[in-house]
Amino acid sequence: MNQELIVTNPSNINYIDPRVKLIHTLIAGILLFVVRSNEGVLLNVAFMIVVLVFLGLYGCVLRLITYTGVLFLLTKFLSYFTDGPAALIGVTVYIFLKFAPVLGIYYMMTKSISASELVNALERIRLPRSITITLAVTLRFMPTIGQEMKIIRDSMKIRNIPFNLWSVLKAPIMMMEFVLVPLMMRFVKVAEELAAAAVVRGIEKSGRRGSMFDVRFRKQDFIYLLIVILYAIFLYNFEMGVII
Amino acid sequence: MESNQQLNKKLGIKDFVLMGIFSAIIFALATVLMIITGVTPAVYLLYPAIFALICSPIFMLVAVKVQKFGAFLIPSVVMGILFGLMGAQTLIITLIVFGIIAELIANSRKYNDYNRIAIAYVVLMLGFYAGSIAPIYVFTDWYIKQATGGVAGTDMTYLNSLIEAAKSWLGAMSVITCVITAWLGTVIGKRILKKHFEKAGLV
Repeated sequence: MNQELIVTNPSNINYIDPRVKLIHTLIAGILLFVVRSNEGVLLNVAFMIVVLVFLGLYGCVLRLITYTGVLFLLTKFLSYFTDGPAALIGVTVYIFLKFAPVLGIYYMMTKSISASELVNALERIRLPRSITITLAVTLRFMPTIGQEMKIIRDSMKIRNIPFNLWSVLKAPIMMMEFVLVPLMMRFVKVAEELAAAAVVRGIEKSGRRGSMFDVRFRKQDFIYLLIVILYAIFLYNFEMGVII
Repeated sequence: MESNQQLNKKLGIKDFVLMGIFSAIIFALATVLMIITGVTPAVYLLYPAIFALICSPIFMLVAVKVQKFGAFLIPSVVMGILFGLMGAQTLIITLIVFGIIAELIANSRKYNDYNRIAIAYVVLMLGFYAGSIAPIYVFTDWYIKQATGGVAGTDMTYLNSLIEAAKSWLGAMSVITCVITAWLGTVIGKRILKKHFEKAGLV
């Protein structure tokens, strides 16, 4: 999840509780295995586009449409060849097309929920503290890895060790050692410091923690959930051939 | 968290932070590898094997540093949740189930036996394999059904033989490769820990 602050205002009509989004993710995962036809995939993507428009993620909508469109056209084009390597490519493209709704889910989960909201939501569904704290630290350190990798790459350059695909293929174990050892060394130190900082801020306090946002279910959450469930039932019937 | 009589037996905040940071590294590695190997299913079958080879020093370090119940389970659950949020729900189930098995194996000697840790790591990577490869087979089946149903009368023998190969020896090979690289990874991981971390006094 990106570091920049995601501006959320719970009083907005398009603010959906993270817990509802978690349920939506689960339903979407089941639907992925229900959908069999190309029309079903397109319907699924269309629904994700509606959801993303509702959440106000217009850039993601554009990317999702491009991704699906290109893959769909490619599938149509490749379905004329049924033998040779074209068929193998066809299978690949088809699998990627099947996962197009997942891209929409990915955008929804990463671009519209901040890390702290997610952790808060998971704490509300009674996940043990050990998991939520670990998850919070994991999310916080995602961007830091990139910075550390840049530093490691620079120091490798100083020692005249190029870090690219060719050098990785030439000596994979050695490159793995060169990259992983400094990274792990650094993060062991960081873990100790961060733990001390967190203890000072009272993370070991038992009991329920508060939140900056007012987290509760609102009217729009129930409506959203109802629409998602209705849509899932509709798609199931559509795929089973009940409708049309 | 609450300090009972056995303080050093329970996971402290330091362990959580350590596991969290290293889960971040593992997750980043997994994502980068998925993008690179996702070019074709043939290469993608080897993705868990490559992943098992690379991330073994990280798991070994976590196991050696934490040495308490949860050193395998908590990172695997966190990774399962993260992958699940990104849409790979099969990984949640397999990572949690195999994480519990790995945890029980490693914890049976209180994380003191190197062989147990290695076996636990291999088991966990098998769970990762099951979760990340299973959807491919499901979707290939559907593709064949659709292709044979849609374009009637065309010659499907080539594609069928290809898929059969992928199902029989390529699939079996990828499982065996995954086990071998995971085991090889633990050997390398042990070496790296000996060479760098024991010398620096971090373990």
